[in-house]
Amino acid sequence: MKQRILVILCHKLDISKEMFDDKFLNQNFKKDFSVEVLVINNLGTRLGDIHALVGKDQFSHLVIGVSTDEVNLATVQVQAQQLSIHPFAVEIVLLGSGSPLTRSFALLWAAIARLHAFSGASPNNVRSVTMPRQAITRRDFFSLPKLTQLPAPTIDSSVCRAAYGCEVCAANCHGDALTNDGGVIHVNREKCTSCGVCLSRCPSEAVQFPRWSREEMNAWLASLLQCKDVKQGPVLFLCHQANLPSTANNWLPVRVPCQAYMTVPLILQTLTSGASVVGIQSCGDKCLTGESDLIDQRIDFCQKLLKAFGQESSRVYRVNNSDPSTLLPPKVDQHDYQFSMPFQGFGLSAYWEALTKLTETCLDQDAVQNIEILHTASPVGVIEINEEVCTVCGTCAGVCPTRALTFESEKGTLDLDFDPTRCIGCSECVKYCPEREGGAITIHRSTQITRFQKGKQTVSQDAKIACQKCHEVFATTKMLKKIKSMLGEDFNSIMGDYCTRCRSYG
Amino acid sequence: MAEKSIIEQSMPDIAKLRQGTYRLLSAWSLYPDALIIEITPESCGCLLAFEKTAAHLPFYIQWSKFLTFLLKVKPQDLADLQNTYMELFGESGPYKAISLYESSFLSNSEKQDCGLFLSKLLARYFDLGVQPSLKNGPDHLAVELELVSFLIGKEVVAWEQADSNKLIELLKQEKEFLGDHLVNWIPKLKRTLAFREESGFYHHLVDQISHFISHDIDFLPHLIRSLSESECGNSK
Repeated sequence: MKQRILVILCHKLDISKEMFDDKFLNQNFKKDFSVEVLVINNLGTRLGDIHALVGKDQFSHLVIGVSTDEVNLATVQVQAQQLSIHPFAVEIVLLGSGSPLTRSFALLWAAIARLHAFSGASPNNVRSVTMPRQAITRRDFFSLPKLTQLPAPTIDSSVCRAAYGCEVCAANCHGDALTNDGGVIHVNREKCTSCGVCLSRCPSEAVQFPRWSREEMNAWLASLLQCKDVKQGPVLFLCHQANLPSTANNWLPVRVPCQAYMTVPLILQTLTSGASVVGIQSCGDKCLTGESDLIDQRIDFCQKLLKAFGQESSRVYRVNNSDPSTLLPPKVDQHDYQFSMPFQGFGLSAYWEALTKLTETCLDQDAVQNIEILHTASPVGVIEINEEVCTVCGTCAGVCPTRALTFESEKGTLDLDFDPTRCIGCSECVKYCPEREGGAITIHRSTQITRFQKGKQTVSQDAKIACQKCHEVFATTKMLKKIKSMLGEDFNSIMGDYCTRCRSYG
Repeated sequence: MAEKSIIEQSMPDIAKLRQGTYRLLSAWSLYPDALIIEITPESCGCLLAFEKTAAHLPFYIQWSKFLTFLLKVKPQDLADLQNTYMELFGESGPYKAISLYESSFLSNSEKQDCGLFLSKLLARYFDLGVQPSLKNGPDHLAVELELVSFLIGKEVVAWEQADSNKLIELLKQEKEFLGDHLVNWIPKLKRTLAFREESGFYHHLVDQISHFISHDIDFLPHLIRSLSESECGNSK
């Protein structure tokens, strides 16, 4: 079915009198032929009747603009299903009471952009939950608690690097829902909490997580940040279970699956693409991930980074409903970051792009060259190779999920190259290094501007040893030296001349 | 006014619509005859009577589309359906027949113990109180679907008796059978069929079965947990 988006607004929305003026609707929403706007009297009490008001199979997506935070997602999803609209092709936009017209329009338009980017979901991407979780009581024995459809991840095995040892998603999954079973990532949907951490951390972009996919989130933020009327607005990323703060009208709220979904690249690129401030709000005690410390570390890292670039560190902070002093975004000095397409909020490319923008706008260029922030929340790592111990076997390059470490053998030597712009500091290289006990490779979570600017460099090198019979390279001089030291008198000179195969088969 | 957080009086209805859906899918997994075409409109009508409840469940869109699709099958389509069935699953076509038996989709190592697998499966049927006809083996798609339908039929009775212990036991049996059998091999059957048929009747049928069981296997633990928690609450 062709994409057709239905926007339903409550007539009681106290946005502005001109909001429902036909001229305004025609000038804005209706310029996109895929969008149709329906204004319903007392929408809040008639949410359960939407399917009766709109014909089945007419629309592919649904946006509901309401002023109250009490709209039940489960109810709207049921209505959507009855219209043959996928539960993830629904967006509820909380416009709040008295919201400025331009802000409301930007939020609705961003929701539409998100829905345009939604490309469907497989049955394995859907899990049903009761929100809040509740047991069946004796009184309601025959009644099912209302189910909300939330996304669960699926793995694109064609790009997943689990077969090479990558376990970044499984290692970051707090619910143990992901496991690497013989090189294949298995998803246990019963254990999944739909936090989206696997999606935001996967270096190979192998995780499919509809509703909050990279494409959808990028489209959402791109639409919001380039909307000329709300430019330089403060963006509030809040958990989808969190209540909007009373000062919501001062923010541009963006719902995320969990606070733990917020990565440093996403925060920084939002800032360097036009947002004046980024606030992060969790769902508090309801949080299933318990990742508050992790988010605090990421916020702390972003603040330190901004400070190092001569910016106000208060441009990133945690919003807490119980702390009134955090509810209003702080005023910050004007900045001139321009939005640039494509917006890639996730991943290291977004991080380096944000750092490039911060570097360009920093007044003290000499200070930039000395920026080196060692921090557990740094999204990038820097490796150090102890050439005395490293045998240049290349195991680390084989398991590196982002190919930050590569093994070159075209020249007369075997080179281990390191590209700092690709390293995510996952430590897989250290885990699999045969010489790890001797400290052949160490990794620091650190952002070093000079290392980044230098780009790819050779970090370890050794001469190749080729088999005297088949001429295949089978070792390096350091490897042989190591084997010799281990075997002592048992070392046979043939071992240094021929590969295992030629030694076995003569 | 706050919205109700429950779907009232829905549990027996959900069980009935699941039972009916499994039975309908099972019937259509066999060689089609005039009777199945004759009874399908009435069966679909009975299932669609639960539409309001079904809309709360994640399989709804596909499920309602499939029922609408089935309603379009007319008696004059029978010969075509029979030919297609034989071309795909019988030996009449130019290609190798696609098996509708679970044992055909076992891994190579498991296939070595195929006899043991079938006897264990048969024993499981007996344990659950069913003696399957030997016309189709116990691992035929239709027989496995019918068994799940049979278990849900017992679940319907347990709901009527409000017997929560019995319910938990039955739901666990359904979950285990689905998890041990249908969930394992239906995706493989779906992939095999996709090579031969991209949009025909049996492509839709297997797609619907796959979709339905993948949501059902999610739904059952949810229900078991809710019921178990309710039992804990009652015992306090």
